[in-house]
Amino acid sequence: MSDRERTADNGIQEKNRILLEARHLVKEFPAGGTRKNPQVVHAVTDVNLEIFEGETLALVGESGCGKSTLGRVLIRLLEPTAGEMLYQGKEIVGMKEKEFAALRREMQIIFQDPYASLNPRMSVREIIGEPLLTYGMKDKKEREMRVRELMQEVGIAQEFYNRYPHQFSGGQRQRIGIARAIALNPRLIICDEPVSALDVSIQSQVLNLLKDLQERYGLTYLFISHDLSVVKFIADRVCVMFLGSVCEIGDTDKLYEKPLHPYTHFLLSAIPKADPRLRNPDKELLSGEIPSPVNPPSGCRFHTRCPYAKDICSQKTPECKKVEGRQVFCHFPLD
Amino acid sequence: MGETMILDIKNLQSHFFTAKGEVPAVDGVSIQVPQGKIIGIVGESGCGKSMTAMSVMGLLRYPGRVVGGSIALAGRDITHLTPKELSLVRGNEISMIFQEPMTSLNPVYPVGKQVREAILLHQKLSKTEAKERVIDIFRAVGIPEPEKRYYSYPHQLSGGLRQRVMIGMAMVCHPKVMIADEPTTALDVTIEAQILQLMKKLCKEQGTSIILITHNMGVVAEVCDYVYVMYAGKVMEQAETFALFDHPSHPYTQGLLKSIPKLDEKAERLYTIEGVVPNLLHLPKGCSFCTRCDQAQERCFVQKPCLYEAADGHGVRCFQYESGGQLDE
Amino acid sequence: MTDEKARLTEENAKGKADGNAGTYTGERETAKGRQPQPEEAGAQLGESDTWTDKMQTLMRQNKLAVFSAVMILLMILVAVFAPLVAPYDHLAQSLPDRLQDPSAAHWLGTDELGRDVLSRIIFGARISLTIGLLPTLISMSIGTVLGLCAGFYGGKTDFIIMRLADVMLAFPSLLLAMVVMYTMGGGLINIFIALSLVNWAGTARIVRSQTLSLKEKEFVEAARSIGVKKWTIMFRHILPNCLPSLIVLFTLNIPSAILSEASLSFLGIGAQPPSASWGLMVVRGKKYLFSEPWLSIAPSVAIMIVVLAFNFLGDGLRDVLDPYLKEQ
Repeated sequence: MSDRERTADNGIQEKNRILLEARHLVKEFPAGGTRKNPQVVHAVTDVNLEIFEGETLALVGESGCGKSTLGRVLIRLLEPTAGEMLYQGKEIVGMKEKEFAALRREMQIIFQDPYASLNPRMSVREIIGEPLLTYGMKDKKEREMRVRELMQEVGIAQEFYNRYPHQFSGGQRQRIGIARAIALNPRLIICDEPVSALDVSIQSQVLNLLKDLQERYGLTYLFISHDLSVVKFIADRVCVMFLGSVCEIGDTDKLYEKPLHPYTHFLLSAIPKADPRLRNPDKELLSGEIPSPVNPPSGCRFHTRCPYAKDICSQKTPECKKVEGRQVFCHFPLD
Repeated sequence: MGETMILDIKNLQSHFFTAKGEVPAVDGVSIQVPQGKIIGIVGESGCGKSMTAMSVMGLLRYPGRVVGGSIALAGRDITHLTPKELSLVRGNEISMIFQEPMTSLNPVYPVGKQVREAILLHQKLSKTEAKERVIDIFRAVGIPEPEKRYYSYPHQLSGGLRQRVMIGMAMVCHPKVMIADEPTTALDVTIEAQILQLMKKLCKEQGTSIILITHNMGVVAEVCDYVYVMYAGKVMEQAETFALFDHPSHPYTQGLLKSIPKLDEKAERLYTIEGVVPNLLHLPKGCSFCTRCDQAQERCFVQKPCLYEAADGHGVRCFQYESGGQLDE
Repeated sequence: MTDEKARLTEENAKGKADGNAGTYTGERETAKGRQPQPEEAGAQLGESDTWTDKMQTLMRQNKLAVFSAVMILLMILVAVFAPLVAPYDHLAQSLPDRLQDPSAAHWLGTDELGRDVLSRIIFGARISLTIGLLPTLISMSIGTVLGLCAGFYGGKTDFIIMRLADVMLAFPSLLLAMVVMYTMGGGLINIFIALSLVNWAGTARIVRSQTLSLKEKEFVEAARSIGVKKWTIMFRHILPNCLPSLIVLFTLNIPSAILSEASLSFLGIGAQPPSASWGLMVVRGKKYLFSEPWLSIAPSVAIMIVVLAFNFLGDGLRDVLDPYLKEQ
């Protein structure tokens, strides 16, 4: 929040501080087929995205919408098929691994599954110490001090220094993962569904921790989630994705208050609300299933499920429309 | 609650006999399910909600075992049935659907055939009649092009469709009770909404009672009539849905509801319940929630609270409501 | 299951998963998707994955394996302290005492040169156990490194290594060892080399398949995102997680190595007289099979006991450490 206020105060100057920018980013995976007629999964298609310094940008969407893939492409855990990525104005696609190594420490990732993301055969000391060791902190004492400091930071008791992951609960493991991610003082952290594998009561602890850390270190988050209530809590801006392409990008509050893209609207109304008084038996539901990313629909990706679709929607990919400072990719935005 | 109870679980106890000791996974749970209602069991992982369901279905595996209590289905005690008798009850009068339909469907048979098998097992029909029934059922659970889908293999269907098939299979014999264990947890929000709507429709049209097991307070608020909140193998609070959300009374329920981020407000920080779920092997001596409770008093640490009646049909396992009189044991 | 599944589909599509997705069952696989994690549920249900816990399970469940382990330990001790344990010098000939029946002086009798059979078996344990342990260790190290490389780098590396492994597996290993022995001549050192070169392919296959599934795990991705070097990832992150299977495989490979040595010696291209190899003793006793059967039977029983003990131990370890291998 404070960062957004800062952005507002300092006006244009601050606002232009783009940390990471993606231009026409495309990621495809081969999906078999014959040699003459190879098939591809269109995981991410032509995405333009800006992540501002110090903000939390949420990537929201259903399964297969490419949000996790996009997150991994942005920090080059996957190589994009096409497109450009600018980190602080510097092109990073195609950069040599050696050259990229210096930037790598500025971009880290927190994973969804706290069970798979920690090596079961390494102790907390080794897990959190690994990034430090990789970036040249060879001195054992120095490393131990830093690891203990990080443990304190994320709320893991000091006596667990030599414990192994299986001795921790899901929430604690996620904290260890967070400690590993902030060990190198990164600027950008990709949070890939960091709380969706956690219980409700643990989820709020981790969310608060993420928020505290952001405030303390001025971190920038790309927060990938399918849970719109969590996103509402943590994000400054939201980017809604459907089947590999962006539907809508805008400030969280405005987007939740008045969604412009029909998909955002239905997504918001589909969430079960924790208040029985908000029950609506006649609630309009999105019908049908998510189309296959191997053969995505022509034109607007959403038109097969969209109740407002017209002819043009199946023929032409909608261009970016700017409405009140928000971007929406729809031929007929809601108003 | 004056209605007739189709399923009456009294003081159910299921323990796991592990090398490290006896684990009381379900510890004295009483649940009443009236005809044609949706009952929610909500709680975090490890609270015993799934174990309760497995116990009712007689599906508890070694090292777990039901050690006490009674389960009455339509007035008949099914606790001590032989496996053979139980398999007749299962599927016919009570059925269950699971979180991940992919694991409950055999990947090498078309889904239609599998549902047909379920019909032939319980009803005397010819194969063609049974097939027609399957297609009717598929239509009823909202599967598009049911004739075509009859021949589809599980992997050719999406998660939502698979869950519809599972619901269809569970409904073939018009069971009195259907237990749904996290039926929408693996699904996307828009698909989840569809499935919830389908379950509500089935409950209303066919009069089937549904026990919905979930960790999602939103799902409970959306579809349930009556809710049981479980924690560490015990029911902490039970109430009608509206009463529960209007007046959450147990500190745990209050904490749970407060810690969920809300869509309609912007909070700076979320409320948190400190600590983690206690290990069932080393439960606190008193109330199992006392170590995390912000309202705990001295006696909470030494004495186990009973389920007290806070209001009509509203039970709370907390000493604060002691004046209301006991509901259990 | 949502995103995980999508990613899995993508990975399958990439062709990297190669039908091996999910083969690694050492760790919890249920953690995918949105279902909340059981907080310490593993501990509650008594399943845990420390070595100590697993060994405790083994002790409880499989008495035979524990007994075998004790046997093996005893045997190793006997082999190490053979000069102290053996009642006679195993090479000392005493022609007047030749071909004696078992008696108080010679528990298992004497052979055609009057050597004490029991002492020879005790000293033979040295050969058999070394043959069992060392070449297995060497061949498995070769297999592990090759399997890791094949699985981790994929592509051409994978192709070449695995086709080589296929060729190795297509030959009966004993035959291959015989070819090596014939070209290099008999003797213990050459048995070492022959057996080391022959048996790596099976290990390579198993390590490769585990590497394939392990390298898609998030903790490997995390290491990559930190910028950890490839070799470090292979040896610090992937290899330790293959260890349970490797240990099982080790105990199961030992008996086959011991048997190979016995067979080679039996065929006359292994250990050469006068060394007290068990296989050699069986073949020397063959002549007297009807008059003095213990000459062949005693070393055969020794071979059987060692092989069975290692097999039982391996089975027991496999049950607790690596349920995946069991299915194969």
